[in-house]
Amino acid sequence: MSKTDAHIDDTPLVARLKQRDKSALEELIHIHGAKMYGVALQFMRNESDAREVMQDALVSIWNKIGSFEGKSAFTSWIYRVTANAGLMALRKKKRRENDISLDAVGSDDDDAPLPALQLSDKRPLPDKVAMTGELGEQVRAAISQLPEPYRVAVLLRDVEELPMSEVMQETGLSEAALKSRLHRARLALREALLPYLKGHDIQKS
Amino acid sequence: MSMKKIMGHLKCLLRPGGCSKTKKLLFEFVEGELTPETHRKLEKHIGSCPPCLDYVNSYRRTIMITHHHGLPETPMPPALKDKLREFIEQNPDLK
Repeated sequence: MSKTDAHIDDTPLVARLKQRDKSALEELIHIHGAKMYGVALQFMRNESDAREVMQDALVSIWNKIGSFEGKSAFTSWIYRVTANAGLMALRKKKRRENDISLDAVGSDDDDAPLPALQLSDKRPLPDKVAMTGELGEQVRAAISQLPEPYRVAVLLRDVEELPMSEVMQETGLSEAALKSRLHRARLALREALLPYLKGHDIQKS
Repeated sequence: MSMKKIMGHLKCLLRPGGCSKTKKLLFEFVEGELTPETHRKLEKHIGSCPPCLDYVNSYRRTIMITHHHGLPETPMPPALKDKLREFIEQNPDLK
């Protein structure tokens, strides 16, 4: 994921986890905890819930390490496990609060009209000088203002870069519903971040 | 430049958010899901329509900066580290 992660050789850590060495979990926290916390925080938006997600993720990592074959980077795998724990925690929370269903924010039907998503906070136009430093903060703030189903789609697909098929599997959404949700979320983010997109060199990805 | 092309540009400029066809196909275009023929046609149009080019580029850049800046860079609070250590030591699921 990050440049720092690319230089870390996790092979010994994975081996120790597979040998059921519990102290390896502490090392995992030491090395990758900050990024895991970032993932958990973006899902849950508060420290206390993020802690629960990290605990669930640790249990999942411990239980599933045997199935990690090293086909993807270990870092990607643990962040994916953390994202999955976040998704599960959001579902559990929703059930507990007897809240609106995941689809209540808007219809994802192909034929249904798609009203533009509005983020709650209308940000002032940024000072050009402060743009670069603020960009990350503004991006994260815009993501966190997305209604939950849209935030989840963006976090799994655009932040974590999971394949569409995997996001469909994780969220239980049909392909059409996921595409619609993701597209609307991206448009809302684009709208919110437009002042930051202008005046920058835009490269094709 | 032909009259048809000039008219095309003028039409595009009247739609500052990009043309409706581009908007409709934007997701599939960016995800590379269009047929090669449709992709090529749309790419050609975008190349000659500044509002569409801006629109597509800003959409792509949104995805790019979302990926690069989507996760907080704040360090984990030390108290949380301690709590997780405690959790690792005491949780019966971690045997």
